[in-house]
Parts: sequence; structure tokens; C-alpha cells
Amino acid sequence: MGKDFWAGLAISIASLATGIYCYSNYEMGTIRNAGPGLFPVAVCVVLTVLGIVLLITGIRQAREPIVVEWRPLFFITLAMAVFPLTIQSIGLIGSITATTFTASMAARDFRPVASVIQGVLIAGASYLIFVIGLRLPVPAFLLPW
Amino acid sequence: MIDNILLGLATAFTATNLLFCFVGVLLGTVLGVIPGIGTIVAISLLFPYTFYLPPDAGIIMLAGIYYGTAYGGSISSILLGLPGTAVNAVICTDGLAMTRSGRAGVALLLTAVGSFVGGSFGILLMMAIGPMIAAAGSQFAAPEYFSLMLLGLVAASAMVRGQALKSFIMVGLGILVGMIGTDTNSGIPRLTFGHLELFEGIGLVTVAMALFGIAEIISSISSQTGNYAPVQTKITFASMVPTRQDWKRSWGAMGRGSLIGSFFGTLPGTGGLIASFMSYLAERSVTKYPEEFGKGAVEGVVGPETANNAADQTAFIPTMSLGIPGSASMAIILGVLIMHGLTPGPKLITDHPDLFWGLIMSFWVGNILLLVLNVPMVGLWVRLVTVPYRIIFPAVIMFCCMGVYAVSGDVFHCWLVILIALFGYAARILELPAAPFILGFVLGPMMEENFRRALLTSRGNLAVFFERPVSGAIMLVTMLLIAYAVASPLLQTIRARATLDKAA
Repeated sequence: MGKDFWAGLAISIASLATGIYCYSNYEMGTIRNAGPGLFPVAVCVVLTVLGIVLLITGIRQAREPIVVEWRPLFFITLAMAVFPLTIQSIGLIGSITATTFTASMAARDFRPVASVIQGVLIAGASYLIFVIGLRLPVPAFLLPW
Repeated sequence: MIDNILLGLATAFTATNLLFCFVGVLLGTVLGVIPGIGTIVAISLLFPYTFYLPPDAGIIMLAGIYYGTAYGGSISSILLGLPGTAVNAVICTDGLAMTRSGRAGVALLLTAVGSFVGGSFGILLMMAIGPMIAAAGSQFAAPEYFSLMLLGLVAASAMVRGQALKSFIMVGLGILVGMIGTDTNSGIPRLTFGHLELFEGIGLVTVAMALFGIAEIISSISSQTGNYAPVQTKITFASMVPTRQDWKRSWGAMGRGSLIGSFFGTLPGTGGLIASFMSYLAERSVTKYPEEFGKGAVEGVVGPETANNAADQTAFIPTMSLGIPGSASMAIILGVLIMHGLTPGPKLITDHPDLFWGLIMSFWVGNILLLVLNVPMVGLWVRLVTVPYRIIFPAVIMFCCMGVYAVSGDVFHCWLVILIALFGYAARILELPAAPFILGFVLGPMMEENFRRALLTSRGNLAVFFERPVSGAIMLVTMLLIAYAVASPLLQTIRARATLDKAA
């Protein structure tokens, strides 16, 4: 079983579930006057079938190792969470510094001191671009308490 | 025609538009040079900022970024043998070989000239046939539009060899995600699961940043280290002068590249990547010096670069004259037009001639600027590739976060970015292509709209898509493409088995 099997499996299950959800929650209408549910259900049916076809082709594939780059995946995802968690409480400079510093940890050749400096520089650049340049109403500094 | 050209020149030569054309090609070159940031990543990162500009300046700048990346990408291909963007991959071997034998200057100069020739040819073609296609398109009604969009999506999937099924699945998933939000016909919120923030749908910014910003970074960090050492960093003007022999061999390659590039650029689903590859194959088969290919054949560098630039320009033909984008980059440009309140389609050229002709004339301005930027300043661009990737990607993260936050104004969409990026990364691991997803996402809502309208006017007769002559012809082509996509891997398996049997 190869990658296509797992991809096909995930896609067919997700599309089937979405299709059933749409069918039971939105009006299908008639062909002449289609309701909000008709097109989504049609797309889900096609996707479910294609997903099953992919699944079947995947059964005969040779098994390949699925390589996940955990370190970048973890730290980039974390960085992307740091931003919405902090932007409204500590302001632009602090939030961007924390976000880019967290992101820097994703690299294998991570250098803490250099990354802090880089984070502050990027935060300064974002202040110039967004607050001075584009006049985005975001406070530069905020006290969280 | 003369009136239109003058109108276009008047638009392109305003101070604002000149400035943003320059900014666009400059950013395009810079991002194109950096390996690991390709055309689609550059566009995804920067298009939210064009919303702050007037529509014409915004589109001109975005287009500049788009065709600027291919120019920039050729620099890293030639000097490092590393493709700056995917379309430059085919010239790496010959480009690097020319650099090793001290002919980097010649390669860079002829590539810049070839790109300009190819770009100009594409622009002329767009001026000639764009309005013609739009005139034909103005006769189209909902069934034709639906069929055309379906053809566009099928073609974009079927052309990817061995990936047709996966591409089409990604198109479908894109359509599905594009449906999230309020249904325009009934006013009912669909698939929003009670989130008020989703009533207006998921923004193109959110999807593009997640798939081509964040997911791209996660998978590039380990493989892209940056910090490359170019073979040659100093390029003198004297070393750029091509010999008479070089010119003689390049003109033909530029001519063929222009034709090949324009053909594949105009077709939906194909683009610069296929065009540059085809041009390389063509050059190798017509050359008098086949032994030089792979060892620094000048036409093997000039031809593909001419072709991809011609394709970049002609890709605008279906997008601007019919409103049907052929690639993910074009889908984003189309999305930007819509966000500026412009309806893409045949009426765009007649309703907003200043935008259409201004854009075309700005292509010329941009191509001339690229020629000027590239040739004397190449030494500066070379230094860019020595910047390590660990310096680059945190800045990209900042642009993603701020782009989404600035456009949506709330943190909800920042959380959505994480969700879509995780989906994008999972798709990458399972080798599902992300580009078709964005095509489906942009075209989906328009397809549904035309599908419903067609059925309403035909009183529920599904045959309407086949009975109307133009729509029927388009549907026939679509079916042939599907048949080809289904049959070609099957035939390959059969052939492979036959050879195996023979061997046994």
C-alpha cells in the first residue's frame, strides 16, 4: 500500500462525510431551480468516487516510507499560533519578534542570539511597512495587563 | 488599435503605474533569484499588498512580480546550476556549463535578450488576439462559461503527466473549500458550522498564504540551506559580449522559443514549465551541434528562457479576455481583479480598456526595466543567493501573518491559515499537487453560478451544455482530454507489461 492509498482513503471519507452533511442540511431544490445543496453534493459525489479510484490504485503500489519533517512542522505551526495569541495583547513589535523567533527554531542550524536580533529587525521592518506605510491600525506596543 | 495603444501608453506611463511596475519587476527579480521562492510563492506573499493600490497599479505590479521571477530565476540557474524557479530548471545544466567555461556573461546577456524577445512576441500576440477572443466570448452565455471553466480545470489536471487523477481531486477539494460561506443565490450560509467569520467565505489571501507560504516553508527548511557559493560572482561587461557565432545560434532559438512559448502559454493548463521544456527538446533536435547539449550549448539556454517568458505573457490572454485562468498564478491574478470589483470576462476589455491596454503596455515597460535591471546589476543579484535560508524564512512567516491579519482584520483567519497549511503539508507528503487546488478554489463559485443560471434558463434541461454548438464543442474537447488522461497511464501499463513479457 502506497501513499495513494492513504490519500484516497482520507479524501473519500472526508468527501463522503461532507456530502452527507450537505445533503441533510441544505435544500437540494430541483434541477431547474437548484438549491444551495445541489452543487456541493454533486462535487462531493465526484470526489468520493475519485478518492476511491485513487485508493484502489494505491493498494497495488509499493509501500514507500512517508517522511514527515517534524521539527519544521512543529515550530512553524507553533510560530503561526504565537502570532494570533499575542498580536492583540502585546502589540506588533513583541508579537512579530516572538513569532519569527519561534519560527527560527525550525532550522537545524538555529542560533538563539542571532535569531533574537533578526526577530527584532523583522519586527521593526513590519512596523515600518504596516503601521507607517499601510497605516494598519495595530498598536506597536501593548502591555498585557 | 492605435487609439487603444495610446490609451494603454497613457495609463502605463503615469508616475504611479511606472513606479509600481518598477517595484513589481524588482521584487520579482529578487524573489526569483532566491532558490526556494518560485513564482507562485512570490505572488502569494505579495498580492495582499496590491489591495492598497488603485486597481491598475495593483495589477501592473502583480504582473511585474509574476514575469520578473522567471528573469531572476534564470540568474541562479546559470550561475549556480540551481533553478531559482521551477521554469528555469531545464537550463541549469547548460547554463552552469557555460559559467564553468567562463561564459556566464554571454549566457546572462543572451538570456535577458531572449526573454525580452519572447516577452515582446507574447505581448504582440495578446494585442492581436486578446480582443478577438473577447469579441467571440461576448456571445457566450452561462452554458458556454460553465463548459469553458470545466475545460480549463480538466486541462490543467490532464496535462500533468501521471498526476491527472490527483490534480483533478485537488481541483475538486478547492471547489469544495471555495463553497464555504454564504450561498449567493439563497443567502444560506454553507459549511460555516456557525462561525460568523466564515459567512464571507475563506479569503484567497488565507488559502494562498497557507498553501504557498507556510506549507512551502515547512517542506523547504530541511532541503534548502541557502548560503550557496556561486562559481563566478564578478561579471564584467566585456565578458558579456557574445561572439558572432553565439548570435547566429541564438536568433533561431529565440524565434522557435517565442512560438513554442506563446502556444503553451495560451493553452489552459500548460504554461512556462512545459514551454521551456518543449523548447529545450526542440533546440536539441534541430541543432547542428548536438554534442554540445548538456555541456554548455547556448541555444539550450536561450530557447527555454525565451519560451517561458513568451508563455508568461500569453497566459494573460485567456485570463483577461475570457476570465478563465490557466494556472494557479493566473487564478490569483484573477482573484485580485475580482477583489478590486472588476468582473473578469469578455466585457473587461470593452468596459475597462484603460486597464487592459495599460496592462499590456506596462508589460513592455516591465520587460525593458528587467533588461536594464538584469544586465548591469547582475553582480548584486548573485550575492542574494549567498543569503542563508534561515535568514529568509522567518521574514516570509512575518509577511504571511501580517498579510492575513491586515486583510481580514481579525485573528480567526490566522488560525485558519494553520489549519489549511497543515492540510497543504499533508497533501505535499502524499504527493498531491497544491496548484490545482487554488484553481478550483477561485473558479468554483463562478462555475456554480453559471451552472445554476444555465439550468434555470434551459428549464432544467441538463443537455443544454451539449446542445448549444459552442458549449457542445468545448464539452467534446473536455471529454477527449479526460479520455486521454484515463487512457495514457493504462496504455503505459499495458506497454510496460508487454516489454516485461518479452523479457521473460
